[in-house]
Amino acid sequence: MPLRDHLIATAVLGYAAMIILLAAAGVPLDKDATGLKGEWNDFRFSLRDTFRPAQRTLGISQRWKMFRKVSRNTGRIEIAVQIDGRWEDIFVERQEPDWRRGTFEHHRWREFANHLRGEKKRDQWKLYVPWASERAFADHPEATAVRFRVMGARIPKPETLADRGALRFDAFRKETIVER
Amino acid sequence: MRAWTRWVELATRKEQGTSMALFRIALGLTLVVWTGTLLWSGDVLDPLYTPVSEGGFARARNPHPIIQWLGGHTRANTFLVAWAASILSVALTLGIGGRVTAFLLLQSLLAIHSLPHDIGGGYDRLLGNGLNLLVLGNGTARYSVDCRIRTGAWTSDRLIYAFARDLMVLQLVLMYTATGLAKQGVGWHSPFYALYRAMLKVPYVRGEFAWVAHLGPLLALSTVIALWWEITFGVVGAWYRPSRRRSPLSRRRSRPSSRKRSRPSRRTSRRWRRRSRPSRRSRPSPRTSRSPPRSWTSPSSRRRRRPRTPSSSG
Repeated sequence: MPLRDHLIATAVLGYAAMIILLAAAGVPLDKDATGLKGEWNDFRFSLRDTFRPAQRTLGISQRWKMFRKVSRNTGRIEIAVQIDGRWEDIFVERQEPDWRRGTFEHHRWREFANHLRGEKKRDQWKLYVPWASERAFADHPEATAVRFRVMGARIPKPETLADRGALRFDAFRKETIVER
Repeated sequence: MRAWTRWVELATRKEQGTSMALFRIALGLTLVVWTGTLLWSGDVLDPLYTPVSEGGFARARNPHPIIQWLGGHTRANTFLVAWAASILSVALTLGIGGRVTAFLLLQSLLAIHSLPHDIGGGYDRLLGNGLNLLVLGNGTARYSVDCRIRTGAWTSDRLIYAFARDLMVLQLVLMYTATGLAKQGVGWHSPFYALYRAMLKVPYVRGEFAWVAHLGPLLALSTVIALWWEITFGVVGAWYRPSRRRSPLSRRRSRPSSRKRSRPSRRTSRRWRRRSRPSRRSRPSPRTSRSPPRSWTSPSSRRRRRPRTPSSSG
């Protein structure tokens, strides 16, 4: 058997072992675990740090935490403009009216909106509000102010929702008003 | 030692490049759409990926080396890399440039991803891993411009290493198993509301799905099935046998048909002879054995088998 075959087999084995270990390291455990679980946590954190440059330059990231937890809370962004002293909605997620829906429905924007709905990344909210208000004023020249709101809803049990017919976005989370 | 020999045989076996070529085309088309929507959808690349200093939203804390090499994170460099990725994805689909194209495309996608903070998903990682497999394996042996230039035809009998396809299966098994094991959070345990809630959460769906409330028990059952489908996805990996002896589909792919294909080159035919020769243990009985097709045997062996005629004996 030629040396080249041995080298190829070694490389394939190394690659397979690396992605298996990285995938195993990506499976989350309780961060405060002790004993064997705690040791596994330490090992996977060290593994992740060791392979971080390789993941960054070779694209072999194995962090598969899709839909890890599906909580009962959700929220939506609502944008309204003030015309003649009255607020008129121009954009409400998942509903009419649909100002610039083509942009905001792009999957990258939906990922970005995830950050806007939350409380943690206020920095992104501060960047988003001036950008969007500038466009809202441009598209609605008669508007004197733009209001950005995030309203939350709690997903009830199926039988309760069947009676209600729709989710109630009645929990106020945050609001910013920009005047012209 | 014997196990290592078997592993070497498994890792270095070869097959025709149809699977990898189809994978390359599918991945290339996906990336054409991926980069196309980034460039042509208004207000996506700019502002989501452009720097805060130029009116965008992205703060690249640790940009990819390509971005650093280009002179840092600027609006112009963001568009430059996105355009490069778009052109490279077209080249990948057409099969131009082989592994080099796949590698450059992977690097340009990684460069784009390094700019904004966490607006990617599992699909981005899957695309990156797919491109990595096209760097390791040869995706342009068939149905590619490279093949057309090399042989004058869109298909060829050129053999490629099969390990890239095996790694592809391993990658899928890892992805499903890991994501299944990661589903330990709320919703995935009794009363199994994960799918029901996912279909109502604003980030995941594009419409008003309140009607799913009437499908409560069905969605609970689907939650359990989805969870265990992912956790036990390793069964698919066990079912997939990379040995071509046990897979009729691979066997058909790996042996050249003397009826349809042109005669293989001398080097290729020697390899076929070596691989198709049955081992001593599995050699069939004389009653059931068939002589190999004429194209698999070399002229010298045909000469040896030719019966002696009065003229040839002198």
